[in-house]
Amino acid sequence: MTFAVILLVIVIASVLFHFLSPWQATPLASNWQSIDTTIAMTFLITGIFFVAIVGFMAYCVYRYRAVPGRRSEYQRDNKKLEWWLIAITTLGIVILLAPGLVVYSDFVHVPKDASEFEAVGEQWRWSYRLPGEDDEFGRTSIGHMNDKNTFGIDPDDPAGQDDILVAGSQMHLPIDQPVKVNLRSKDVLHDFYVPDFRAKMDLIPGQVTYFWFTPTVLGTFDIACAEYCGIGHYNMRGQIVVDELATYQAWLSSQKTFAEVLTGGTVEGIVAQGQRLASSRGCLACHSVDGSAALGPGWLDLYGSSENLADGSQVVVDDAYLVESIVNPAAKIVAGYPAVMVAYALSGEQLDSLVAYIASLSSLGPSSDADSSSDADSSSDTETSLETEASLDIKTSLDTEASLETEASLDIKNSLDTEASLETEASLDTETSLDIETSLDIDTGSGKNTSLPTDLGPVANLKITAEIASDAVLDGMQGDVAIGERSATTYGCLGCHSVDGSAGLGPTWLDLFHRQETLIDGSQVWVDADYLIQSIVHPAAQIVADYPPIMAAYALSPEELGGLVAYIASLTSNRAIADPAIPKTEE
Amino acid sequence: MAYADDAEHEELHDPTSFWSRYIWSQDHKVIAVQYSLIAIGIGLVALVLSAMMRMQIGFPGSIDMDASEYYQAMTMHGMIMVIYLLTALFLGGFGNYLIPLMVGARDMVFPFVNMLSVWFYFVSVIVLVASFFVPGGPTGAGWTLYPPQAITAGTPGSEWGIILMLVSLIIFIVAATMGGLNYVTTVLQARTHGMTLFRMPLTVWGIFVATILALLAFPALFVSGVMMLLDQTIGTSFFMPDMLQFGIKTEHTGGSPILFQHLFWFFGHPEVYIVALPAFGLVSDLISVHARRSIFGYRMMVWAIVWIGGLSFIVWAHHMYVSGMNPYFGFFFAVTTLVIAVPTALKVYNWLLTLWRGNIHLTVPMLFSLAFIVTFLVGGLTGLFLGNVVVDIPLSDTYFVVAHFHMVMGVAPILVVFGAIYHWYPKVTGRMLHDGIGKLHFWITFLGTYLIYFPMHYLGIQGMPRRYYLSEDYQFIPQSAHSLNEFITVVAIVVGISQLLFIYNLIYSAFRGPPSGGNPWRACSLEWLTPDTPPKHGNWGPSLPVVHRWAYDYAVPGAELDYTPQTTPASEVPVHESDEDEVLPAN
Repeated sequence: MTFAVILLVIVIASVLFHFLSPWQATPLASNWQSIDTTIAMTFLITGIFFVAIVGFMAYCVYRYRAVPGRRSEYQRDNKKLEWWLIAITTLGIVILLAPGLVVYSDFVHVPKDASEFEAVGEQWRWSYRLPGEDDEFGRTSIGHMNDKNTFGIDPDDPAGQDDILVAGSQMHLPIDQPVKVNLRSKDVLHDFYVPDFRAKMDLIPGQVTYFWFTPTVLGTFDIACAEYCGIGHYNMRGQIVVDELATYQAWLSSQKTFAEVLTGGTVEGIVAQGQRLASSRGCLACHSVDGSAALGPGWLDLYGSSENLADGSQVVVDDAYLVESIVNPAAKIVAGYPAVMVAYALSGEQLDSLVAYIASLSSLGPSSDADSSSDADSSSDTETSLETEASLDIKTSLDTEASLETEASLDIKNSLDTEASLETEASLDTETSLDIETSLDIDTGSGKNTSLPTDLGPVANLKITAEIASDAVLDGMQGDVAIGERSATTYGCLGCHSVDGSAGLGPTWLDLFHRQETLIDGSQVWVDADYLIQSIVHPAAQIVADYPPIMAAYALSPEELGGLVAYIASLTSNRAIADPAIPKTEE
Repeated sequence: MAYADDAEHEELHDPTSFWSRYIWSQDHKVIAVQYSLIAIGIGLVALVLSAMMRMQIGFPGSIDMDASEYYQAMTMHGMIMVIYLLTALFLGGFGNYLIPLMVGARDMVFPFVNMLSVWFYFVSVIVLVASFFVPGGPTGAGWTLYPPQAITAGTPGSEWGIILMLVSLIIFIVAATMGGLNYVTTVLQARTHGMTLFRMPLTVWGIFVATILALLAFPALFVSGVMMLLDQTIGTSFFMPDMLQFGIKTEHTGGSPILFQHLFWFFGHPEVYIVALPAFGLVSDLISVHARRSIFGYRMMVWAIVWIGGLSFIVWAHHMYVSGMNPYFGFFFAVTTLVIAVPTALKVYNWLLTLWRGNIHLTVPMLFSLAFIVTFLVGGLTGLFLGNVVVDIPLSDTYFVVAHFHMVMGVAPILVVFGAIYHWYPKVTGRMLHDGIGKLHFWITFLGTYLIYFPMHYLGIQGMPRRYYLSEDYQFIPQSAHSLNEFITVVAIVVGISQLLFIYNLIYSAFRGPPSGGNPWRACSLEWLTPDTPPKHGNWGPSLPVVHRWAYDYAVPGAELDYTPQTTPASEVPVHESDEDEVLPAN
C-alpha cells in the first residue's frame, strides 16, 4: 500500500514539477519554433506513457500484494495482447518521429536566401569572417596561419582579399535574416551553441561544417562551446549580437578586410599588437584584463607588482619574468593557480608586444613609457627595430635593477634619435656592452656578487656577455646573446631545452657550454661552439646519451647560429677554460 | 547432450591449496566473486570522484580542485563506471556465477581461460589506477576520449595518462574476450539434460546476448585505441588532421577525427546494451520469483532481447547527430533508434503484466526491481527525445544527456545489481542479508537518485552545457539553475554516503546473517537446487540435474506448492509447454 502511494506521489510530483518548475527553456530567439514544438509534443506523449505505466504499476502493487491465501494466475503469455501493445507503441513512435523528421529536413536544407558567415573556433576563443563583396570566402589552410593571418587565408586567392575579418569574439548579425554558419576549427573539436537559437553543430579540424538559423530577437546572446575541448572549454567565450539592419551595417563598415590586415593598413602600436596577440593566441581565455578571477593570474595591475610563487618565494613582475612565464611557464608557478599553462614559442617582437600590453594595464609599471614608445612608432620602421634591441637589453639586465637600466636605455633611445646614422648593429652592441660593464661596477658595490643563487641567471649572463663582448673570445665566434635568445624562442628550442637545469626532452642548456658530454655511443665530446653548431644544423650526427634522437635539423643563418652559441654560453657559470682531455687549440 | 554426459562421468579435481582455491581458482563461483569485489572496489573510487565533481559543480571553489583535476576526475569516473564496474560486474560477476548454475553445468567450459580473464581484468585495473601517478596525471579527455584533444596539449594527461588508459582498455578487452568466449560456449554446449534454450531463465538469455554483443563490439574500441596510441606515440595521423596546437602547426596531417567517433560509438552503443541486457534478464527473474508468477510472455521476452541486441549495432550515430557527419545520416539513425524503442517497451509491458494478477511480496529484491522499472522508464523515455534527431540538436551536450544516461545506465542497472545481490547472496554465502538495512538502503538510494536525475533534465532544457568546470556569467543560465545544482549536490552526497550501508550489510551478513537454507525464495530455477549451499566445486554432486520444464512454473494449477522447480518430472506436476517450444531430442 505504502509503496503504491509513493509511486503515485512520484508520478504526480514529476508532472507538477514539469509545469511549475522555474527551469524552463531559454526564451527562443530564432526561427526554430518547430524544434520547441517537437519537444513539447515529445513531452506530451512520453508523459502520457509515463503516467499510464507507473499508474498501472501502482495499481498492480496494491491490488495484487501478497496476502495469505492469494495465488497468482498461471498465464504464460497472451500473444494478442502483446501484439496490440506493440502496435500502440509503434503508433506512438511514429507520431514522434514523423514530425521530427520533417523538422529535421528543414534543418538540413539551408534556405537559398541565407547569407553566410564563418565562425572559427580554437582553444579557447571564437573569431569570425564574412565573405565580403564577392560573396565568396577565400581559401584557407593551416599552413597559411600566422599571427598576422590568423584566419589562414591564402593571400594569393583573390576571393579572400575582401573577406571581412571580425576582431574580437563578438559577432553581429542583422535581425530576421536567415544565415548559414560555416564552422571551422584550427585545432580540436569544438561546438558552436547559442541556447537561445536552439541550433548547434560541432567544429571538426580539417573540415567545414555548418548549420543555419534566423535570429528573430534583438539582443546579445552568449555562445557556449558544446564539445569538450580541453581545460578552457568552459570559458570559451563569445557573443552574437543581433542588430537592426542599419546598426548592423554601421558595425560592418567598421570591420577590416583581409587585404587591409595584410598590408598592415592601420599600423598598430606595440601595445595594440600585444593586445591583438593576447586575443588571437587565447591568453585572454585564462587571464582577465579587468581584475576578475580566472584560471590564471589577472593582468590588471600585474606589471611591476610583486607575485607570490607556489614555492613560497616572491618575484617582481618585470619584462624578464613575463617573457619567462610565456615561453617557460612551468618555471615559476604563481601561488594559488594551477600549473596548467602551456608554453608559447613566440618571436622576440611578439614577446615585446605582449609585455608592453601587460605593462599598459598596470598603474604600477612604465605604462607611460609604453605610450611614448608608441609615439616613436608613428615614424619609420627602422626606429621600431632599434626599440626591439633596446628592450632586449633590458631583458638581459638584472631583474632587480630594471628600473635603473630602463631609464638608462631610454636615454640611449633618445640619443639614437639624434644620431640616426647609428644603424650598425655591431656598434650598438659594443655600446650596450659598455653600458653593461658600467652596471656591473654598480653590481659589485651592492653586494650582488656575494649572494647569487643560480636562478639569478641573468646576472651571470651579464658578466659573461660583458666578458665575451670585451674579450671577443668565444672559440672563434662573435655571437650576439640577444639574437640567440630570440632565436631560441622563435625556433622552439626552449620547448625541449630548458635554461634553468630542469629536465626536458633534450639536454638542458644551463652549464652546458664548455663541459664534457657523453654521447650515445659512449664517447665523450667537449661542448664548444663547433659542437653546438653541429648539433643545430646536423643533430643526428652526435646524440647525447639518454636522450631521444628526435631533434630536427635547423638551417639557420651564421648570425643566428652565433647568437645561439653565445646565448648557450651565457648560461654557463663555471666555465673551464679548455677541455682538459685535449690540447687547447682555440684561438 | 554430449557435454552433459561427459561432465557426469568425469573425475572432479577439487583444488586443495589456498592458492588454487582462492587465488588462481578455476571455479566459476570464485572467479565471479573476484570479479565482483574488484568491480565494487574500483566503483567506490569512481563514486568518490563523482562526489568531488558534484562539490565543484554545486559549490564552485568549495574543494581544492582546478579545471585540470576536474576533467581528470570526470574522465576516470565515466570510464570506471561504464567499463570497469558495470561491464565487469554484469558479465564477469553475475555471468560467471549464474550461467553454469542456471544451465546445470559443473563449471564454464574453459576454466583455465576463465581464471586468466579475471587476472587480466585485475591487471587492467592496476594499469588504470597507475595513470593517477604518472607525470601529468590521468587523462582528462572525457570517457569518450575524442581526438584530437585527447592527445594534444590543453587536455590533461595527453602525454602519459592517455597511453595508460588505452593500454588498460586493451588489456580489459583481452579479458572480456576470454570471458566472453566462455559464457557463449557454455550456454551453447554445456546445458544439462533437458535444458533446451527456451527453458533457460532470462538471466542467461540477457547475459548470453550481451556477451555476443561484447565479442563483436569491443574490437572496434580495440582498434580505435591502438590507432590513437600510434597517433600519440609514433606520430601517425589516423585521427589527426592538419591542425595547430596553440598556434604552432603540428606534424600530423590528413587524419579524420570523426573516424574515431564512428569506431568508438560502433562499440559504444552496443556497450550500453551489454550493460542493459543482463539487467533486463536479471530483473525478469527477480520480478517473477518475488511476484510468484511466471514471467509474462517469456518467448517474446527472449525475442525482444535478441532484437534489441541486433538493432543495437545500427543505431550508433545517434551519439553523433551534431558531430558534423553527413546530415542525411541523421534520418537513418533516428529511425533505427526509435525502432529499438519498440522491443524495449514490450519488455516493460511484460514486467508489468507479470505483476498483474500476481502475488507480490515486497521483499528487498522486489523493491529494487520495481524501482528499476520506474527509473528505466524515465531514462528510456528521455532517450526518445535524444533519438529524435532534431530534438537532439538543442539538447546534445547539455545536462539533459547527462541526466538521461545516468538514469538509464547508472541508476536503473545499479538498482538491479543491488536487487540481484540481495536475491543471490544467500546462494553465494548461505546467509541472508539484513532486511532492515536493505530496506533503508533501498529507500535512500531510489528516492535520492530520482531527486538527483529527474530535475537535472530541466537544466538541459535550459541549455546548460555539460562538461563545464564552471558555468558562471552565462546570460542564459539563471541563478535558479545554480541553486538546483546545489540541491542536487547535497542529495548526491547523501546517497553516496548511504551506499556504506550496503557495504556494511555485505560484510556483516557474511558473518552474522541468518542461515538461508538452499532455496530461501522458493524459486524454480536450477541454481537454487544444488545439493549444497554454497555450492561446492562441481556444483551438482555425483549427477547432473535433469530438467523437465521451463524456469517459471509458479502457481501451476493443480500443484500443491506455488512453485515447481525445473527438475520436477511431468508425472508429479503437469508440464504446460506451448506448441511453439523448441524441439530438441530429449536427453
